[in-house]
Amino acid sequence: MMPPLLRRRAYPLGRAALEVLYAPALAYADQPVVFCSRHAEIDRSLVIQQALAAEGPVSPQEFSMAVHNAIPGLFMIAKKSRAPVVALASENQLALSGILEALAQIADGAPSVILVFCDGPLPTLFSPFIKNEASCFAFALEMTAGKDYCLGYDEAGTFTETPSALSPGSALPLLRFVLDETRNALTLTEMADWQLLRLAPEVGHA
Amino acid sequence: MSDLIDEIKTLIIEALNLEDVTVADIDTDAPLFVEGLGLDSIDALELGVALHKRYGLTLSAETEETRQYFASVRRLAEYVSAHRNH
Repeated sequence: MMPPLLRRRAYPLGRAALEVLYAPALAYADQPVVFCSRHAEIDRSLVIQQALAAEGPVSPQEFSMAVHNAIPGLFMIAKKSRAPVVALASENQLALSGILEALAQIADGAPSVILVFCDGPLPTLFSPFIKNEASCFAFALEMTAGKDYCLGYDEAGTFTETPSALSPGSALPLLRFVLDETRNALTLTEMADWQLLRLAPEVGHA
Repeated sequence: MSDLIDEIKTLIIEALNLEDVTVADIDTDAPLFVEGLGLDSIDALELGVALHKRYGLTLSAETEETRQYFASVRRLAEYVSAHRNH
């Protein structure tokens, strides 16, 4: 459990992300963390801007947490870990961005990388500009080198699966795909040129 | 003074989002930072902003004087009581 003195700095979305990072099943052991979120704790920036507009001085506490890597940073402080943290933001290619980053780190020698995805609804002030609203979610995946999945690129976009399963601003389809072993491909871009492919178990593979 | 002490404890709890901490949990004479409540430098800044908003106080950062006022709730209450503008 995160010490209350650190936990108090997180908003509900950050707490959801920390909850999955602290999950016993993850058994975090100093791996690099790739934090992926469309806006992370965007409501915090709004609080700061509204305070600036209304009265001038802004909360140092809010300001210190108003960066995209604040939540994984809080986790690393609590865990006293010096492992690398990358924080990524993307509108509708969040899953692909996270997977590419984790793959690059594994190619560079990391034995295991923790991917954290989280997002929540935007503050209502932004509602006129929102096309596809994300529900609040957080999940974590551990990526290791293996033969269960591969990333496929097809410039011509001839992958058969339509990108209709894409949910812009949300990485939840990635979680559903990983959990649903009857599916063999997940479209990762609107162009349908990138896919995550589930590989058939090798015959005789232990 | 004891009313002001409780008021300042409430201000600390609210301004710093101290979860599960009540006025009774805060020792009036214990250190606020590092030891005691275990607050950090960001909390010191946050508390400075809260004291400015509530009492019109302006504390200069990083002076020995300011450190003394922040030593405990009692010291803070003495300072607020002597210098408050509202």
